Amino acid sequence: MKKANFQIEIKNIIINKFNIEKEFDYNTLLTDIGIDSLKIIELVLAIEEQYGFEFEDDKLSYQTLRSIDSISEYVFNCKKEGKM
Amino acid sequence: MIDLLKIISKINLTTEEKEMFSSFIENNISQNLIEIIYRNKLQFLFLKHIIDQKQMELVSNKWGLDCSALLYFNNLLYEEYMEILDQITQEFEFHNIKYCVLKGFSIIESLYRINGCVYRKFSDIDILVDKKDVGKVNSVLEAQGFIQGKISLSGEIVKAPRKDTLYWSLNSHQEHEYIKFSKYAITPFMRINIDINTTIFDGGKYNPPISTEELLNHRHRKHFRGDKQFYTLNPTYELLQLCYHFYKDTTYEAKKIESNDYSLAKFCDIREYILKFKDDIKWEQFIKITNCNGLAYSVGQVLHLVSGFYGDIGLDSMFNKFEITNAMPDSEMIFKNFKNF
Repeated sequence: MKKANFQIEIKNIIINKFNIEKEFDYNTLLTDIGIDSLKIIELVLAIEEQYGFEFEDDKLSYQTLRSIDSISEYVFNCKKEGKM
Repeated sequence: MIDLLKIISKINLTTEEKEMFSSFIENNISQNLIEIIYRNKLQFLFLKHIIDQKQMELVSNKWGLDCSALLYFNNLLYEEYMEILDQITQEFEFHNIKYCVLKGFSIIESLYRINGCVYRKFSDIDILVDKKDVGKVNSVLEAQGFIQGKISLSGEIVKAPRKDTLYWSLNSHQEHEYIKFSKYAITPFMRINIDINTTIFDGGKYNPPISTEELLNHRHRKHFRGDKQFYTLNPTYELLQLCYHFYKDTTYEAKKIESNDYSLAKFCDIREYILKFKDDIKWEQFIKITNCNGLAYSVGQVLHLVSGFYGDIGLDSMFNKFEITNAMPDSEMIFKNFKNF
């Protein structure tokens, strides 16, 4: 699975879970589309459930979770490294 | 009352203070005073002063016995924590995990052990590690029987839901607490708590003024009990940490309203630390670190409060070196409104 696939899927998770109607791209900061500290937890849980893995403790940061691009980069690397 | 509390919160009393204590206690022991002492977490020091001043008859035997029992258990628990810390830190060092012990537990041995007894209440151990090592830390603690969890209504330790551990990891200065029952546990209340801190500042999106990696470069091995030595921050950084912890817990606007954490035990920690380690703290470096990292107001404010309260820590000449634009808080006003008094 390519990184682009993860980007599409994660964007869909966000749109469906949080009813985001505003236009945004993969580099938009999630905070700019209303994903606050509680919603980010729900998002992480949804991604973990979707792909059957858990974010590594040291990667659980707002830096990793700042945008769809940064999240999908991390998830893609986990897939490449056989962590999921 | 404030003068009495000031005296009670000192470990060592001058002759004049002993006389003031004796005189005040003879006429003013009341249930209200006892409650205030407990709210300020000074019960063990108060017990010590009562015994040292040969005034046991002024407190009820029941209170003396109850407090002594708590003190005894506090000391038992302290020994248990020392054993556990020894096991954990050996594993940390084996796995190349840089750590240091923080907050109360890091200073209890050096400040509050008197004639073999520890006179400070504590409830957990705080350990600082770099975020990159949290996964390894988790493995070490799980192998030692700790669970990131909570006590269920039926009194068992249950693993915290994933969303709770995520919340702590993302939004707090520490991970979700690790717990297991004390070896002395006869009720579920008696447990061992380990708090893994990934910063000494605020967690979450907050960008720390000093990274944990940098802080861990300023640790040293401190002698604890017997042959046990653990890493703590060196005195200059340890004072910084104690002051910032006090600031975080007490002077944020939201907490000011409640003042629940304005306990004198914290004032005591900082005063006693400064008096004991004044020559070990590199004061010029301390000022520079606080100024260069935007900590002058938070740290300076705490030292101003503690200095204003006790009047004897000898730092008055230092305050004009803090680069602060905001006015210092009015100590007297704070003490007047301090509901713990």
